[in-house]
Amino acid sequence: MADWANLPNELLGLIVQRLSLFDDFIVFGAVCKSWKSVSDVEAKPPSPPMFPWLILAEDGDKEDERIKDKEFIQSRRFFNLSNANVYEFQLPEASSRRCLGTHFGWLFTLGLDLQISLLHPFTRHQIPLPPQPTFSDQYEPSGEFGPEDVRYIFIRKAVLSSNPWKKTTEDYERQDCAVMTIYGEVSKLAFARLGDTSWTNVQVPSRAYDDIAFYKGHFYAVDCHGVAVVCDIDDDRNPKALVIAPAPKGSRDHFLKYLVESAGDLLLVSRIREFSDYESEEVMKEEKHPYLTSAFIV
Amino acid sequence: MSLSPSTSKMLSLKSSDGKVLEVEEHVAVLCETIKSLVEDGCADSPIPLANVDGATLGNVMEWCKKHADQKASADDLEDWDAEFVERDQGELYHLIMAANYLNIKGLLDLICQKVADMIKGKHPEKIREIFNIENDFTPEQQEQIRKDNSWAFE
Repeated sequence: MADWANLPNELLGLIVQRLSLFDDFIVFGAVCKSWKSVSDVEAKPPSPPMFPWLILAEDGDKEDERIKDKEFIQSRRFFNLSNANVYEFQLPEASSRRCLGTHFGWLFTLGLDLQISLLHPFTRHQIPLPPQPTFSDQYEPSGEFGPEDVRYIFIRKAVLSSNPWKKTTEDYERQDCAVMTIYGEVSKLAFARLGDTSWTNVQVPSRAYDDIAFYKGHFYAVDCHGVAVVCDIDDDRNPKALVIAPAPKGSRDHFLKYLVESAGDLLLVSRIREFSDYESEEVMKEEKHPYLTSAFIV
Repeated sequence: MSLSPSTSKMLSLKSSDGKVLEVEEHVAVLCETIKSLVEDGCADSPIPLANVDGATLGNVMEWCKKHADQKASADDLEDWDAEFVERDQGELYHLIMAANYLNIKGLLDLICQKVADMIKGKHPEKIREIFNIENDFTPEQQEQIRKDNSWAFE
């Protein structure tokens, strides 16, 4: 007699791993208790087999009739890359906030009031972070830029070190989780830990950082020349970034640099943008400069 | 060890319900469990397989035979596999258990994928119906799951 409910957990696990859609994953857990216990275990982030979702931009068209509908304003839409479905969520917490990247399922959101928080769109948990004005190197106050403009250009990227929510303790892991950002006019680095009241600058040997990444316990950053640094933020009074790899040969400042983790190594990828004509189409090609893990001796 | 079919010796396999199946050794050793018995020289004749019934053993060996065939192309195998898994849930259940017990990774992957494909895009009620599973959640638990993930059940 077939007893699917009590199929050994290892076999249920093999089946769950073959579900690529997040919704199938949730449905699997809703079938019966033993299936739920398996999907709960497998749900530990990060879960590589799941397909990413994109958060869609809010509809800015004020002429749109639906904008008057309060419910519409309070929801955000997500696009599932694997089945092209669009899901709408009641998410007033993200209403008219700039969303800046996701990590471990959390959105880094920035409001017009320049308050910053991490938001989990499924559980609607929120964790406050220090507001934007607590960064140093603020823009000179001027009539030209309102908060709407400032919030779009001030913070360039934010990266989390770990998932701040610990399933096991059902609480936030304040000590362990840090957020690193590229900020300000000259793209320097600053970080904050959960519970901090302001952002702390990292002493950097350079400026104009293109990308940051968290890799094997440390934040790494790369500047526009391609020089890679590792951040030492263990000492709160003197957080600093140390150069660990020189710029790759043949690198140009106008190549956009990305730090990408792939197959256990951190790679520096340069995006080469060639402009054949001022307004003509961009020609892009990728050039990889592999830095193997051994090159990152800190 | 690569034995050509013509020189391969025969192994006897005995199912849980006492049926004996004669199988060429190069086919049977696709089961890692049988392979290690053979390599250790502990292959009794017949080899007792207490967890696999005769009908399932026949299906498993049919799969092994196809996959031991050196002449089968990858495309051919893919088509053949797709047809092989067109079975009811009862047979699939016994196949997944047998593939796990006999340690046949290729067959286990195939059946798990089939089961996953049967789950995809369906509602919990439908999945319970297909696999004959009892809903053992309390109404409160069920409501909680729905509330937490309402978007997934639309």
